[in-house]
Amino acid sequence: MTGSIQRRLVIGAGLGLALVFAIVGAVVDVLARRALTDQFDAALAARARALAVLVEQDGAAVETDLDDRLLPELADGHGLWVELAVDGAVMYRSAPQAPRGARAVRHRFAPRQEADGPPTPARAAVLTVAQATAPLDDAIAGVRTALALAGIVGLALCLGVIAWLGRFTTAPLRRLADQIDAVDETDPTARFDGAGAPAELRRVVERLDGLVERVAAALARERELTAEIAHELRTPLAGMSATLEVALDRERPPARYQDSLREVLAICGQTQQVIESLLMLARLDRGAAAAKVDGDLAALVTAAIDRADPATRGLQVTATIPAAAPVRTDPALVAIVLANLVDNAIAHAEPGGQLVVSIVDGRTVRIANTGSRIAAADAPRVVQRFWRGDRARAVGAHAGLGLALCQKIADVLGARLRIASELGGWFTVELELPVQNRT
Amino acid sequence: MRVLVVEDYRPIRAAVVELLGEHGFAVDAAADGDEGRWLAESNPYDVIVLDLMLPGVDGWTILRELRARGAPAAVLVLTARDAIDDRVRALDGGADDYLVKPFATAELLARVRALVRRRYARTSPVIAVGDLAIDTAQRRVSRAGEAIALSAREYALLEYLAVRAGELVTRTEIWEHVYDFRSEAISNVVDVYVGYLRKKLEHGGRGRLIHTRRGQGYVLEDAAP
Repeated sequence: MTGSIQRRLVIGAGLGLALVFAIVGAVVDVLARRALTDQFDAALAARARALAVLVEQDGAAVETDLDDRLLPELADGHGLWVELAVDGAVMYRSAPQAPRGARAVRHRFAPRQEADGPPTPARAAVLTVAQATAPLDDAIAGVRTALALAGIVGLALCLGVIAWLGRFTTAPLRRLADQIDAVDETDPTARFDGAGAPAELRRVVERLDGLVERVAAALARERELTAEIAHELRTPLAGMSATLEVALDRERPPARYQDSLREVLAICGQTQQVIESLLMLARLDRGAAAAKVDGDLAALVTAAIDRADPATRGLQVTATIPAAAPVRTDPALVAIVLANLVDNAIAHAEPGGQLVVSIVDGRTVRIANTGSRIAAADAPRVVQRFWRGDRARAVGAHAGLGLALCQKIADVLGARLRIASELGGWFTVELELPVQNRT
Repeated sequence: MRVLVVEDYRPIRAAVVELLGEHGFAVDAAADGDEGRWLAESNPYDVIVLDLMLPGVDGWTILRELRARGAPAAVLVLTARDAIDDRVRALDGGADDYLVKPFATAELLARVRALVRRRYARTSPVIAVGDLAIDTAQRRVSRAGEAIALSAREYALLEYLAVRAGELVTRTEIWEHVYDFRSEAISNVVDVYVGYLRKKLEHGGRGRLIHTRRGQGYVLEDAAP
């Protein structure tokens, strides 16, 4: 149900209170009517008893002093109608008919019995006293009017209070809404003032703050990434333009032109790799999922080493790989990580240095090279995107984002990437695939 | 003039080294910060073309140390970072000029030449000593309006003597500012080249401009010693 909280409150309260007032009013009305009627009847009965004094039943004889002259005095302004009937025959009647809408009380006379005489034949004497209910009706009407008036005024007042209460309690909501309207989502420092918020809203405000902070952080990351991408692509571009400009600077032998063209082509290839890596990172950022296929980690590692060709830098390669290491993972992604790690290790090692690749406990690949130029403290930062010390940026077939991509892929695979380094010593990277649930 | 190029990305490094070399500069190159810093400390370069994002010691550190040392070399920062903040930081940090990649090689050359002028406190690209006129932008030399053809090495030598016109220039200084590490260290190569230069400058009976100070060095000036 839509609509403002206030309107819902007022309508709901209005209906509810109206119902309550109606029920209470009806109950009060019934009770009042009964009380007034009882009161009326009681008064009438008293009057009847008073008049009964004027009737004597002596054995079979009934005598009365009732007559018209007496009645006005007796009735003393009450407008009574009196009838005395004996065995059905009317002895006295103050008027031919009882007033319309009158209430009547009947008083039956019990004949006096002589204690020691024979039972006297009873004669049924009934004194009927009636009175028009006009005063009663007026009283009841009065009560009803008072109730109705009280009900309406009360309802109006209640609704007024509720309406005001509605405004009062929703004021923090309106304030929050104003704040939300005023927030500039591109302002990374925008926050909501949770200080004045009532307890129920505090959670909302906190969550909102958290959301705004995350959005601002995401926007900042995106800006940063855009700048970094531009930087990453500028470098090879500058390489190409500088190479071509220098080649064209003066007349050169054809062989020289060919060298320059080959150089530029190579840089084009590297740039392509950078772009592919960036696209992959973007896709992974958006939440691409990894496949889960049965594969052989040993085969993947061996392929990565062969492809990378460590012989070019004269490295001594030691590979400790079991015959087979079955794993359930995404082989394409694992292959990319391995390729990057091996290329990186080869690029980082000093010429003639060592490259050691091994598979530990069936699901962890350890790649280590000597000649590390990274201090131990810097090791964790190496996987940050575009970290300046990443030499793989400019060297090797997978020029580009190397280790940052590896970290991202590791996250998607549910794997852990551990990096350790000693300046001048070993640079070690471990890719630990998640525990295999063998069924 | 001697230039140091510190740039880790090989294609750019190679292109810049070749470019400057072909335009008469003696060029040394470093592929990382450590080598760059060591070279900058060991030799009196006139201009240093410095990339900021380097493996090992980073460009900022090298710049800071150069300035702290009071090295006279002019520094041109070459980088892919183009944000205003980066430029301001670099210039305030002691750089003399800032060029963003990708750059036009012609612009790099022009800026390096401008830095050389500044390094030797000159405002005009043309150096005049007596009737000798050296247009450093065009790399053209003339005496009394008549053009003189010089080899690249001869021109470099003349230019260095000319920026130091009137001052005594030692052989060591000539060696350090006109030759790079790739040159062979022949003991009297400086004297030989000064001889070549003199011959061309004084051809046709023109007055002597390069004067020898025995045991000390040379001076380029119009007056007789």
